Amino acid sequence: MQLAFYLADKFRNPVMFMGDYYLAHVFEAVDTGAVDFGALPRKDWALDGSSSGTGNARIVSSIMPTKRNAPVYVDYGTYLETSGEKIAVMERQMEPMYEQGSCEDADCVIVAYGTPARIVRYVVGQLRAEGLRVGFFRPVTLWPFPSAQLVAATRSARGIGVYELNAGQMIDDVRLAVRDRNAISIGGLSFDSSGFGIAPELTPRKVAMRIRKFMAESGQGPGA
Amino acid sequence: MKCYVPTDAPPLEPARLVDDFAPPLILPGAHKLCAGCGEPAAMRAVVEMIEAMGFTNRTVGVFGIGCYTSFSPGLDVEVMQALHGRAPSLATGLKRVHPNSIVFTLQGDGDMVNEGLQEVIHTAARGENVTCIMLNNGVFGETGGHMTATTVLGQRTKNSLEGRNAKKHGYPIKMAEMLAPLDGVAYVARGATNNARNIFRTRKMLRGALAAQDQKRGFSFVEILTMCPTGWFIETAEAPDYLHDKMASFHRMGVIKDAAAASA
Repeated sequence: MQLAFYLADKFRNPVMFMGDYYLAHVFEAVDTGAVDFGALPRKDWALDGSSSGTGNARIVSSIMPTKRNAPVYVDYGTYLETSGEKIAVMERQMEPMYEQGSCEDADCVIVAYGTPARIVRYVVGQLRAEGLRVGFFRPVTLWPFPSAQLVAATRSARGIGVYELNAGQMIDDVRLAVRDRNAISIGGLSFDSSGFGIAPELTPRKVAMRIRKFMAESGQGPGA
Repeated sequence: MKCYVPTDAPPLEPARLVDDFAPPLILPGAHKLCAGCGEPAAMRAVVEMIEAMGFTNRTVGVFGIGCYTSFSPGLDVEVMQALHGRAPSLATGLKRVHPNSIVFTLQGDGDMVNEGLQEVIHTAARGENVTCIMLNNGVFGETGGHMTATTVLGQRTKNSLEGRNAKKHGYPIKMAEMLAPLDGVAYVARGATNNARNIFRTRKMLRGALAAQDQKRGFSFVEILTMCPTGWFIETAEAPDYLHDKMASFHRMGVIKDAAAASA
């Protein structure tokens, strides 16, 4: 969370922090101590009125990049073109974040994010204890997406399952990362009768059933 | 044949350009709005008043989206660009970080009343020390003259060709009268730019609003009726009278609230 604010400040670029329904409805202890990420660039662009009337008044605008008397006048088209370079710099300077477990010798890797990833991580641990060669991978940053890390984590796997509680939002990112290998959705929409309660599908028992079924259908593990 | 301007010798004084008459806070160059538009005169009144009151080196403008947005690169005033209707919220943040700055928003009726009505109402209710300026021409001028929430009954717009009809389109909102009763509001006035007298009155209103902000008395609001002959589908020369007859009879000009004056 603090990193998100730090990066937004450093690059002068919005950082979106994604939550989910569970986060809004549960609470747990968190460490709120300040994390030091280093010094930020000087904010010489900030507005306080002091440059008004000097002939070099500052402007912060998404559509008018400079004043019309600026020494280096930038029009909107040029501004948009150079935005691409800025995005490339950000992508180079930011490490994708992810978490993985027991992927080294896994026949099958389950990819999940957010709250469902916690349940998947727990279930994968249980299945490992039973002797099933299964791993899990959790992308933490959506952009940059940890594509190279996902490819490395699934190198030995014959099956890649994507567990997400929606109609399929991350599976496209996973498929773009693993390219020619097939990633299969093993999640899906889940609603209780009220329409806004917790997902009834999101229990360790049901998640374990889905992973077992996926492994059996893709020819791995017991029952294959 | 008699020649009124002698051309056989250099002129007695050099020719003067428009820029020679421009106030110091307007950078050289022409505005890009239509002939007969009422907004340049309003913009000029705002920056002239900022300079006259000695606020030049601590003023920031927050601009909404509309024709007037094109003024932002042509002013020697710091400008922050807001999204549609959100200028009062940006102004709130700016003013709270820099409490000694003078912060004004420049918004149109489409921006303030249609797209972001709640922003200005909450800013006024909180009594933020900012000045919101609304240029009211009763149409979405920038996108081609569509009806807004301040379009007066009977007014022709692109999507009310037979005139605004209360049964079909609802009634217009009187912004100044709506904000005035809120406790956080110190100053509310409505001016116009359809003639020199009204521009002069509007300048006095702007002075009142900026003074209220400078004295930290609370939220101040100036609505300025402006001509939009292009959006009104009338001749340029008819627009000032149209404003007087049609708009100003509903959106009445004058100082509507001056909290300091009332308590004094």
